[in-house]
Amino acid sequence: MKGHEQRTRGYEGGNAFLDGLPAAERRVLADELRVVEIDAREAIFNRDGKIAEVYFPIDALFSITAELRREEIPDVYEIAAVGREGIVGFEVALGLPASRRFVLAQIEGRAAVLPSRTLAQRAGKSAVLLAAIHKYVLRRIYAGEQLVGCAFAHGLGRRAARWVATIADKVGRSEFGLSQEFLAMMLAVETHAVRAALAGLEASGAVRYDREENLTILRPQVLHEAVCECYQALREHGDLTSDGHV
Amino acid sequence: MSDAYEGGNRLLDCIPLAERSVFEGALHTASFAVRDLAITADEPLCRVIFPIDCIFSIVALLQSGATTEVGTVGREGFVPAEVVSSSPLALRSTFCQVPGRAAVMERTVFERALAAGGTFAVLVRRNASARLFISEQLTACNLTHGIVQRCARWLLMTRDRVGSPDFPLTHEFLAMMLGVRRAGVTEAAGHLQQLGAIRYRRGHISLIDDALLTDQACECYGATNAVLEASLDCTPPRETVVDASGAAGMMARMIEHRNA
Repeated sequence: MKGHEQRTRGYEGGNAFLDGLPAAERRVLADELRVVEIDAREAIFNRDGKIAEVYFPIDALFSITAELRREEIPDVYEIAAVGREGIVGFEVALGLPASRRFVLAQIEGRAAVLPSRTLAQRAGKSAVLLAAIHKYVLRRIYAGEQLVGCAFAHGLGRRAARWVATIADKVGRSEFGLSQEFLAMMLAVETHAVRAALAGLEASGAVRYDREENLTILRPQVLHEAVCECYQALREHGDLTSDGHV
Repeated sequence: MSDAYEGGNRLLDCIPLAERSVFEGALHTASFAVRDLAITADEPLCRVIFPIDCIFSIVALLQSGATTEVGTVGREGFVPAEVVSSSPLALRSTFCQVPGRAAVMERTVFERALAAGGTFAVLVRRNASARLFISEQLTACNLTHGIVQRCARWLLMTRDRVGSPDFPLTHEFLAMMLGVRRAGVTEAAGHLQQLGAIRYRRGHISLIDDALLTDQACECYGATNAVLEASLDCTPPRETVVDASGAAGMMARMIEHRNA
């Protein structure tokens, strides 16, 4: 994306996928990695759009979406969120040059950026890098399949709490901007239902949510009691881990 | 009962003959009956199964004791996906839902074939990417689309996965797939039958009118089918020329709708 150029600097860590690679592998990529600031709602990839650069979030959150019709009305739903544990645009390493999804930034912050050609070429040469990417994709599959079951089994309150806890892990902060609109996209409900779910979390003392749509986790333990069981499943085998390392 | 593999799994059949020597002798065919537990969660993962005309259902066990189906694999792929990682144990259990035959390969053979690279490795990676697309699509689909739409979508997907418009299907399975009670299934299947799109009798489904059924299905059938077909296409992917400018319109639409 344009506009990043004047604000770039070198990568000094913070993305768990990159930091988990063997040092030799990291060094190869380091020369071409640069850190950019991403604004909330910035469009990253269009559906079927070319993946020119691959993003490794540091404390920004990216939203992977699907455009679906509910009773003939098209709307955008969030189907996955990618933070410091992951890669946005990993498809290029698997030989797919275009994004199948519309991807946008959900929470502002920093991300390391790599030309997609570099990642594709390196993945073609390095079995270690390719295996790490594949492992990440498997964790995303586990998470995606878990959420298929979750949508059937768990109520809105628990799913909302699970997303809040998930986002905190993915951005590595206990305070972040969380628009009701995005939470509605994640939960596939109207914003008034989101407001009710957030009010419930506030009443329990787990979080504070202010008028500027900033969410602060006050008591993580209370929040973790409110989440559905999928949160733990995602930490064990999905795209979440307690220390941000996948 | 086991025989040598003679074709039928689309992923395996995409591999050029010259590249098959790595696994050819080590592949045998086995039959699976409904509810056969093919893979058990938390147990050593020692074999990989490539369905020919059966369907496997990947399930998540919830704390309530209920099992929910979270993925389905037929002749377009293999189970379990996690065989590609270094995980020694299976992460989820996998049941046979539609009976039939599958090719079975020891894990060590699979790993050797993967390490050899070539078409096999490319197809396995593409398959993972397609499964990711499907699972994430269905998360949103289940929250968004009605039961008749999802039922029609699922029947079409199943038809493609068994490679036949006729297949046995229990009510119980369809209910689990759609995340509804059995009465809901009866209603949805009854609706599709009344339209003349399917015939459902004594646990057996026949797809009668493809166009009608596709018409009833949600858009997720087309979306997931296109990705699956692309994952089995071995020609290099085309470079697309769409840029991110169209995204602005989608954003505007989204915000407008949410604020309406």
